[in-house]
Amino acid sequence: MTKLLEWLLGLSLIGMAWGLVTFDLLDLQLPPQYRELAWPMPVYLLVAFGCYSLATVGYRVATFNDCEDAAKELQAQIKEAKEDLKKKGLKM
Amino acid sequence: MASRRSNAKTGEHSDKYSVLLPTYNERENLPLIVWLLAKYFGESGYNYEIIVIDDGSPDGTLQIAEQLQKIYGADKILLRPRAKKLGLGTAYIHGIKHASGNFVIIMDADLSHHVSTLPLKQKEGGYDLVSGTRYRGDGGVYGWDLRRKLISRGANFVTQVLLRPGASDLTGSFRLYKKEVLEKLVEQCVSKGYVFQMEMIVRARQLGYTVGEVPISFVDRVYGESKLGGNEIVSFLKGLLTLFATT
Repeated sequence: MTKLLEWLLGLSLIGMAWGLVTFDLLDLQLPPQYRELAWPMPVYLLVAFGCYSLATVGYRVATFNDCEDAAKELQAQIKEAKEDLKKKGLKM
Repeated sequence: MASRRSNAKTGEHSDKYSVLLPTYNERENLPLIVWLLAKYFGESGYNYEIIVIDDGSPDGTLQIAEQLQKIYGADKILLRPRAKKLGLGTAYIHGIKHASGNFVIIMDADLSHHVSTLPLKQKEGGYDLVSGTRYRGDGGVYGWDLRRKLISRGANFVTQVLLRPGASDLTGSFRLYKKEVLEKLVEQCVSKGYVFQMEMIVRARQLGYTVGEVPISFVDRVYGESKLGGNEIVSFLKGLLTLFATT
């Protein structure tokens, strides 16, 4: 199953469960608190996911390593490489 | 100490690492990357070869490669050029045919990596595939402004949510594969460019291959330009959605 199909399946199941509870499609006569809780759930979940995404990406950007040492080391190695290769006869 | 070194040489004598270097206009970078590879492989005692796959570079990359071959030996530097720019997937197929190693390392010809971390990690866990990541451990980048970091992390986040690939960095191209694993994957993957790299890891997980990760320091291209404009972002999203719908 492709990821797209997995998502469609998952969303359909959640959608059905939500529709069932919110609109009482099976005539289960659930207490009103359930319906009141279920009704705004999709929006709550979207907002929660949005906040989670922002927080996660923000955190990851803030903690993105800057490799100063690796850059210095590379510069030194480039110098060394050029000299060594010149010695070995490379014409650039 | 001395006996450990000689054990390393004799113990790993059966493992050989073929480095595939697809090049296009890498006249400046190629000698440096070959020098770095020769240095790191030489120090670690691993058996290696470098296969340069030049796609008819107009800047004379192939001529530089020929000089390097004279310096390092035709057993260490193999030249398998092609007539014109034909794309990454076919470059790998072409390169694998000529690879005599049992492991294949693929990397860009830019100067970002310490190559011996790959075989080390592979041996640690017997992985089918080892991928370099900028996002974990002490991996990272150099010379990136906030915009670039934001785009990179944002795109990676979207990728993780949509594809759940089981690897932290999909667009990197610093990887080691067991040769038969690479052959199998290249057969299956149909995307182009760096989306191809992404597809390789996604398919690898689907086929049940084990994926190890090593942190890498991605130092921005020393020569040449690194592009991350609107076009690249759009084509990335297109590629991502294609993978989402087809894998």
